Amino acid sequence: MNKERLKGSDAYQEYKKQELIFGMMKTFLAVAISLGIVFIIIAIFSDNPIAAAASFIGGPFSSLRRFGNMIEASIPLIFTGLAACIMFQAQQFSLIGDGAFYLGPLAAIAFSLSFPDQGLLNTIISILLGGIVGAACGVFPGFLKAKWNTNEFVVSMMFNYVITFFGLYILLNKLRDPGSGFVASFALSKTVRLARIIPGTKVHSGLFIALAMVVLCTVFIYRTRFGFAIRMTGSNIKFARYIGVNTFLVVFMVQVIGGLLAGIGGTVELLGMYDRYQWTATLGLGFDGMTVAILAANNPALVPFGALFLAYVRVGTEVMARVNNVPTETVYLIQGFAMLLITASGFLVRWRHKMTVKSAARRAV
Amino acid sequence: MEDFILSMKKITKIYGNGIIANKDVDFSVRRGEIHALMGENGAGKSTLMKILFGEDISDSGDIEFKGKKVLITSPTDALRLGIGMVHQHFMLVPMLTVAENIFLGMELTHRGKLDRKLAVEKTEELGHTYHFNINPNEKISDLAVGTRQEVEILKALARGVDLLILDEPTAVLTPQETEELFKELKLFRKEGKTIIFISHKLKEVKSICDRITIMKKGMSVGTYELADMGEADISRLMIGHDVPLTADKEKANPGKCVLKIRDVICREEGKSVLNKVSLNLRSGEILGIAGVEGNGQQELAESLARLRQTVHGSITVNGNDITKKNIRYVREHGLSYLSDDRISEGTAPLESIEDNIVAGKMREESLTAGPFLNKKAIESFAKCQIDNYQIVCDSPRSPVGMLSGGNMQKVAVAREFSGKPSVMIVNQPTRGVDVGAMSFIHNKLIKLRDTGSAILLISADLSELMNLSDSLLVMFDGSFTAYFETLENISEEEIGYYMLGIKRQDKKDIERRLLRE
Repeated sequence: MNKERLKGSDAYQEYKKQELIFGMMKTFLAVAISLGIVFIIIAIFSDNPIAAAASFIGGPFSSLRRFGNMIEASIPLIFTGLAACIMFQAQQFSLIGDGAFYLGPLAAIAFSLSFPDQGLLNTIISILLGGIVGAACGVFPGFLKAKWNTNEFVVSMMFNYVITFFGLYILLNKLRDPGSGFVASFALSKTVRLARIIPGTKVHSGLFIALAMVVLCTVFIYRTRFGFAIRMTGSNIKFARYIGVNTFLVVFMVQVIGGLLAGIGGTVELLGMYDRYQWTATLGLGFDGMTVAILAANNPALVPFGALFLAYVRVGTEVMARVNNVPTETVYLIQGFAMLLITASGFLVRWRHKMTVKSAARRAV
Repeated sequence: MEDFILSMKKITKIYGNGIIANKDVDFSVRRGEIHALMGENGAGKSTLMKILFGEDISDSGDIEFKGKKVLITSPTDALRLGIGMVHQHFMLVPMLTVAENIFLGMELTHRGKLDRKLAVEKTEELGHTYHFNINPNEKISDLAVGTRQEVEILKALARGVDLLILDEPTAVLTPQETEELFKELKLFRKEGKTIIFISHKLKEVKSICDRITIMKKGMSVGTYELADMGEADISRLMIGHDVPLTADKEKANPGKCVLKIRDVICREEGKSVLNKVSLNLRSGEILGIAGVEGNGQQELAESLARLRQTVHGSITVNGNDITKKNIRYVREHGLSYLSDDRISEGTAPLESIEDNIVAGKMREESLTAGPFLNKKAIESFAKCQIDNYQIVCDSPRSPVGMLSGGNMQKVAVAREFSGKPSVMIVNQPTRGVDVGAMSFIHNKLIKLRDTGSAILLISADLSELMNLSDSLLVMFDGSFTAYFETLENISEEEIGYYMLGIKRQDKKDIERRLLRE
């Protein structure tokens, strides 16, 4: 009996190992294939495809400033990626991160402009307020889903329009600086803004907040009672209800938490990168967060890597576009193809099955 | 030379999670016989039949049907060759009529339009040929379970099958309906049809089948003439050692009343599914509830577990009224519920065994630290339960969905029983579970009773009820039609009459005897 158990345990270890290899191979191959497709496109559009490809791959590392660009770009992606992760863990596919990322910082700047001379305290309160307003954005689609089982994707998407136009109204009528040549709020006080941490780049201390959130979310999902309830709800909502989980609360709260994270993310982005609020539409970061969450297999601990990868591809294409004559839109092509292949569950299953059959046959001998 | 209609040779199938479901299985069936296929859960019967019916494709091996080598890659292929299958869970459209269901996918048309009249006529003709008493115009949703099964069988016959696979056809039937089915099966045999009969019930297999193939751990143990075999022989071959077919238990020693139900009414789509039901359940006893499925047992169980709202009446557990309370409250006050559906409700198949065992116990201080999980305590608790319930698994971290049916059920049982509930509602505890796991769960259930839990046992398996219950209620059409204080001198046939509503005890009399303190 003991021996048999031991053998079984080996089998399980092997299964886990294969799953890991398979997951990595799948992501890697998906990315590689989409890169391949992009290089074909580059070859068509560019006069010098090899130089273009080289600038794409090496671009983000070609100067400190560009490397900084990549880190900067990954910070907001970490926040919306985490927001998507938490919602995906409960099987909620909400875009509310997009709206929350837009409205949260607007509330923060309204506060910040009203009390300009508080320094660090102002920063802290601004970020918290941005988070709270972001969370409030999640209340509406979250409640509708929990109470009447409406489709959270559609509701959040539509609600994002309401958020955007409400925000635009506030921006144009209450916060707009008439002295500015373009639509923007009054300037933020320098003391409120987040400090730069790498000289020669715009990388700001928001990075630490983002990484702290990664740790918090990982602990929250895997080590707390409510995280457990979220995971069970996402895995099998009937089962969760049956064992006594308040699934209403879970479905409602994940969108609120998602909004909270995105709201904080938006505020951090604003205080770290800009001196005025100047967004007249949402930035699509809710979608990008979903991409990051898929790359991270819904595991908050892996979100920074997903965010970094996406940022790398973005900066790479930007560099390529600047150095050569390839349009930046190719970045969306890479992203699109990679997502298509990673989420296509049938992709590589034959190969996976062969691997299983081989090792099972070997064990049986 | 024997006349084989089917021979499957060296069939091997390995599933994506690395489980070898079939390994070099040889399986042959003679023309015109009823051939039993038995084995524990996870022994590979279903896989073999899925391969035969084209729902799964084997990794290696050949199938010969009617003397020709065939390739079956979909149920369409199988049906075209003349192989039909009746699944354990019926594949019928409840909103359509009998005739519409039978000709679904091969609709009869007249100048491109559906010819409903012809379908009805053909259905009547079919029913006549095979002595089925069926009204082609009735909706499936209005039919009894036994009749639905007949429709399933007719559906296969309408497609002209010569080989019919029946997957646990009697699991949901009363003794009377079973007998009816057996008569029909014998008639098919006379007409030259061949039947593969999958079942867990030794008695039935012995009474109707000609030969038997026994499977164990993905391999075929062998094929035998049933005339030479006793029930004990079969179970020994299946499990490898002797298993007591009846559970040993002492006489019950009931204590005080812990669960009181009074005049509970439950409605669904305006129809009363529970009709003023009342009962008392005392600690230390097992009260069985028999009934054909769909007569209110499910609704009763779900009302008690608070998965379903009642419109009238009261339910008290240990003196607390729970009719307005949520599931968590009920669980915290000592009522536990073992769901009948372990895949879609009783477990989270994608999650680990560990998580499944501790789920629902997140309020227990020993397993948590404030809002946080106590990982170490959870790990050791799960390990302890895995040992205690003899769950055969590779690791506490492997997903529950990787386990066999019996072990999966043991995970659910471990979770529900380990809380030492004062009231335990058990719904179909051993459905689709192999004999070994069944006997194990039965013993645990008796042990739970002996430690003072009150147990309400709902089951479609009469022999299980007869075996375990101290007293028995029979449900028909949302209310109780009989109450037996003791099961001595009562036959399964007798209970069958109450299950079908043919016989009824006086309602007042039942309540008088049932509601004593």
